[in-house]
This record gives sequence, C-alpha cells and structure tokens, in this order.
Amino acid sequence: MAVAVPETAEPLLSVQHLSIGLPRRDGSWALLVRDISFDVHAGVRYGLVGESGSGKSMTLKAIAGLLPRGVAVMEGEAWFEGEDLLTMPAHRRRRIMGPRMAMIFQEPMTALNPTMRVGKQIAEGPRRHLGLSKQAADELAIEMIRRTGIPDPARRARAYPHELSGGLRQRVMIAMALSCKPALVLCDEPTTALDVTVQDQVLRLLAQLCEEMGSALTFVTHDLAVISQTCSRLSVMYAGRIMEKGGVREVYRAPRHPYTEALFQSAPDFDEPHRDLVPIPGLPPSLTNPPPGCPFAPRCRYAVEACNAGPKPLTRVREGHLSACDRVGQIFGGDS
Amino acid sequence: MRATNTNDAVLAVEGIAKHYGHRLGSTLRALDGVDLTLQRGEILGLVGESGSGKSTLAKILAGSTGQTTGRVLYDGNEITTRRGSAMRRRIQMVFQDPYSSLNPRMRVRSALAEVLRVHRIVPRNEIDQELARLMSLVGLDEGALDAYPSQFSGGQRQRIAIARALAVRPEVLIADEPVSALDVSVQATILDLFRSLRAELGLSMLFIAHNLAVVQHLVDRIAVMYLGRIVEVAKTEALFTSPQHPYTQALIASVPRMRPRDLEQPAALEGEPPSPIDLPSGCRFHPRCAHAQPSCLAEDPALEQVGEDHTAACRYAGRLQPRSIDHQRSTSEGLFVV
Repeated sequence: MAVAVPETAEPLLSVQHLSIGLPRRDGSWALLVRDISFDVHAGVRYGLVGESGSGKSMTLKAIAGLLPRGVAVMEGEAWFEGEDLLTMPAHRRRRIMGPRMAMIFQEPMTALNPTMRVGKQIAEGPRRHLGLSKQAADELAIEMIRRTGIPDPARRARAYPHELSGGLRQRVMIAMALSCKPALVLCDEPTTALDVTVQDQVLRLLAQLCEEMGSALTFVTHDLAVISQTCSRLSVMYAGRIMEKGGVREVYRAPRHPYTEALFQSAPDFDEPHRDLVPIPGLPPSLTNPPPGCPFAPRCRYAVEACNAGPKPLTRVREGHLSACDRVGQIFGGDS
Repeated sequence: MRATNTNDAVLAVEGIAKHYGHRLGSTLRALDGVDLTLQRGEILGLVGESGSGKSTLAKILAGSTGQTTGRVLYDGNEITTRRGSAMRRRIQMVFQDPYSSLNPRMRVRSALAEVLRVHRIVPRNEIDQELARLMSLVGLDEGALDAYPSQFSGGQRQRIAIARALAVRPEVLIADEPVSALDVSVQATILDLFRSLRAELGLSMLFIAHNLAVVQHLVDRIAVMYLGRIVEVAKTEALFTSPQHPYTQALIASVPRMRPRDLEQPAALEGEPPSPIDLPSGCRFHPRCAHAQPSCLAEDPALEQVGEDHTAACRYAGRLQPRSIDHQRSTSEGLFVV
C-alpha cells in the first residue's frame, strides 16, 4: 500500500470541471461549486478540506447522487470505473452504490433505519449485491461488526440503532459501508459528532479497515488535523473552488496558496501552544456575485490589483502540487 | 498577560451534586461531588467529553438550575438559584450557538437596549452612548445596531451575544463552547476578544470546551471532568506537559494532530464512558483505565495534591507513565504512509 500510485494510472474517481448551482428566484444561479477537478486513485485516501460554504460537502453529495432538492449539477463529469456518475440513470447508480461505492455520514442516527436491527441493515447490501443467502449475509454482518471492534458482535447485531451510543452507531455505519468491499468510500465529516477519544478510535478503525480492503477514501472535513491523520492527498476548497491540491505532507509543510497558509495560521495546533493564532480578516465572498478574479483576493494579505481580474487556474508548483495563486512564485519564493 | 493569582476566589463550588430522577427509581448522576474555584481575573478551562457534566456545572453556576447537594459561593458568600437582580448581573453566560440565543425578530439595538433598561445600567438618555461603547468593546461597527441577527455571520453573532452578556457589567463570564460552532478562521478572533476583555475589564471567565487545542491557547488553568467528577486540575502548561490522571493522559493522546502520527497504533482509550445512571464502583474511570489495579474497583479516589497548583483524583498519580508514544509533543516525520 505504501507504493505511490503514479499519476498516469487510470484514476478510480475522476471529477472533471464540476459546477454545482442553486437556482434563485430571479432566474440567476448561486454557484456553490465552480469548475473543480480532482482525481482519486485506487487505494488512496483523499481529503477535501474547507470552511463552511466552501462547497466540499456539495461536491461529495454530487458524487453520491445525494444533492438536496433544487441544487443541481450545472456542468462537469464524475468518472468512476468508466462511467459518468452524474448522468447515469438511477437504476444503474443503485447497482454501484454499495458494492463499488459507499458513503459514511456525519450523523449515523439519521442515516440508519431506526426500525430495523443493525445486523439486518448491514446484511442488506451483501444479500442484494453479493447474492449471499440470508444466513451467509447475517454471518457476514456479525463478522463486520466484530471487525469494527464492537464487543459481543452477535448480541449487538440484534440491537436497534437507538440502543447504541454515538461511537457504536458510527462503527455500525462503517461496517455497513465496507460490508461489500467497495472500491471507494465517501465520508462526510464522519467523526465531527463524536467525542475526541471516540473520534480517535473511529479514525484508526477507518484507516485500518480501508487498508485491509484496499478501499479508497474521499474524506470531507473542516478539521485540518483530522485530514492530516487520515489522508495522503488533499484539495483545499474556498468559495466553491479548489485553491490548492497536493500531497498532505507537502501542503502541510509548505502551503503554496495564501488561503491555505492563512487557514493554517488561524488554526490552533496542539503541538504549538505558543504560536499566536492569526484570524483571517473579512468574510467569504457572496456565492451569487463572486469576484471576477481570485475569490480570496479581498481577504488576502498579498493581494495586488491583478488578483481581482482574470481566471486563476491551478498551476503546477512542483510534481503533484498545484496552486490557484498566480503570484505563488513572488509570494513563496520559487519552486522550493 | 497571565492573571495575577492572588488566591482570591470569586466563584467557588463545594461538594456540588446534581441528580436527576429517572424511571424505575434509578438516578442519573450528572454531577457527583464537584469542588472547583474560579480565581478573580483568571480564565479557567473546563474540558471533558459529552456527558461529563460540564454544562450542568455551568447552569448551576449561572443559577439556571439548582444543585441537589453542595454549595455555590460568590465572594465567599453562599448563593442559591433565587438570586436578586444584582447577583444575577454579576454572572453572565455566552452559549455555543449565537443564532438560537438571540431573538431573530429583534434588532440588535432593541435587544441590547432592553437589557440596559431592565437592569437600569445607565440613565435612559445615555443608552445610545452605552450601546456604542458595547459595540466597540466587542469589535463591531455601530452600524451593526440597526441590523437583525440573521444579517450577521456566525462570528459577528457571537460578538453580539457577548455584547449582551457584557451589557450588565458582569464580573464573571461563563462561556459554554463559545467557538465550537464557528469556522477555524473566525475562532481566533473570538478567542482574542475573550483575552482582551479579561485584560480591559478584569473579567473572570469559565471557558467550557471540548477542543483541547483551543483551550490550550486561551486559558490559565484547566479542570478535566469525567462522568460528573473533576479528575484533574492544573495550570495549562503543567496539565499538557505532565498530565497525572490516566484519563487526562488518554484525552491528550487522542487529540488529532497536524503532524503525522501512526494510526496503526491502538487508540489511546478503548470504549466509551459508561452511563451516568449505572456508575462503576470505586474509581469511575477504572473500566477504561490501562493501569487499573484491584484496589481501583473498591476505592473512589478524591482530588489530591500532586504538585504545585496541581491536583488529580488517582491513587497512582505521579507514578504513571503515559502509555502512548503519541503523547510526546514532537513526532518524527513520515510515520504514516499510504
């Protein structure tokens, strides 16, 4: 698993020029996500990080086909194993969700069926997609519960979701998502609702199970530290755009976009208690009337006149590391 | 910046317990014997997982709920939930979600002016002047007074909630998770605001949070709660560099870090807190404790002095080494490979 997947290999998931919009009363569109592209290769844990309103969750929901009513994909493609997820008919998607792609939600209580024993819920997928008998699927469900580290799995399989604590529920969600060994697991802030000691357990479990099953992850969170613990590559999103993309270690060591840098300076780092936190002044731009140039320019300490005009495409800083800042050379001093 | 500790307690609780009656005669022990002192001019952090009783303690201090047993002391005098207007003014609260704690149909001006009028903080003809002062205190423009709460961002709304708490000129501010609902880039501004309020107004603050990285940046002293008890109290630096209670050690080891860490290692703490209805015998942490001894099942440890200004409720405190290697502040690069 430690082998770096060459960028030239066919990606498992390839999101191309995705734009997501919300129609407004006057006929115009509020753009929640604007022209983003990223690739997730097999077995890679990929993070999408950003603050509220950055479009990270909408991106994930578009991939999973779970966009809220009214919100629509305006442009773009999301290729997964040779098919475009965004245009495929519902019956085709149903055959993919589960065996090839699965999703873990932030709040397991609203994602689990409250009237059904958790063992049955986990067994549903394998019965339907892997063609297992009722008995074999039930056994697999108990085995999955055991692998998520829940003690006394046979008894827990007969529990209803409300009888379990938040941490156990999230483990059941993970067991359910991984029961058919999907190639890709989508996670939407899976540990945000959990306490810190339980979050630690669940993150370790998720990493370990994905490793065992060879599943790739696409992990959405606002927490920079959680990304650092879980992912190997990431995209930093702001106002519906990807501002920087690269390997987690490289980006954390030397961010190459002023927004990423500012985000790190504002975030408390447990290992640097004496560093002053520097807030980012101002507010994110309006989604209905985005600035023509770089969306971060109004809040950027390095901004010059040219930042407010023209498209700001992602450009290569070094191998596998891209930044949407066209002054990256002047600001961060060349290619080091 | 550190407050001068003159051992002058502004607010203290002694042997506070809060029990809720439960079906079938069983009792939920939300708080079970808590002693804690807030010094004048200090920011005291209160950390712990959900269900540890931190918010219940805050409510008892603010007088919005009564305790089952124990005493709350203000300046050394016992106070109850039946407080006079003067006493209610002295202790104010700031909540996690500023949107649900502000009236959406009231302009900021009328919401704040109402507080000033009811408590007769200033004469009527000076209300406008006082409102302007409050706005500048929390770093907002005077124009903000004529807007509704929904017109503000989360960080600005929290500033308004803080301005309302400050309107009655309190001596103690109790902030229950005041930055948890805010984006990272805004959190720092609110933390800065708390710091400057302490410096300018000499406020004493109880800052409740679950995020240790945030707490570490602001507070002078920290109390760690577990299942209705305080298990360790120390100065911030001491708590993070030499935690004595095994629960504190595990809590610190569980904090997600910016630096690489080895996820192959087992988690620092197994399981989840047991139910406060059916508490374990002896030390209530023993079922999850890696160091538990037979005696831990029998004896319920009290907070004992383990260092200067440092107390812990563990019989083996001072003799335990943190189990996890992750606890060390520096970690070598590249442990975690994909």
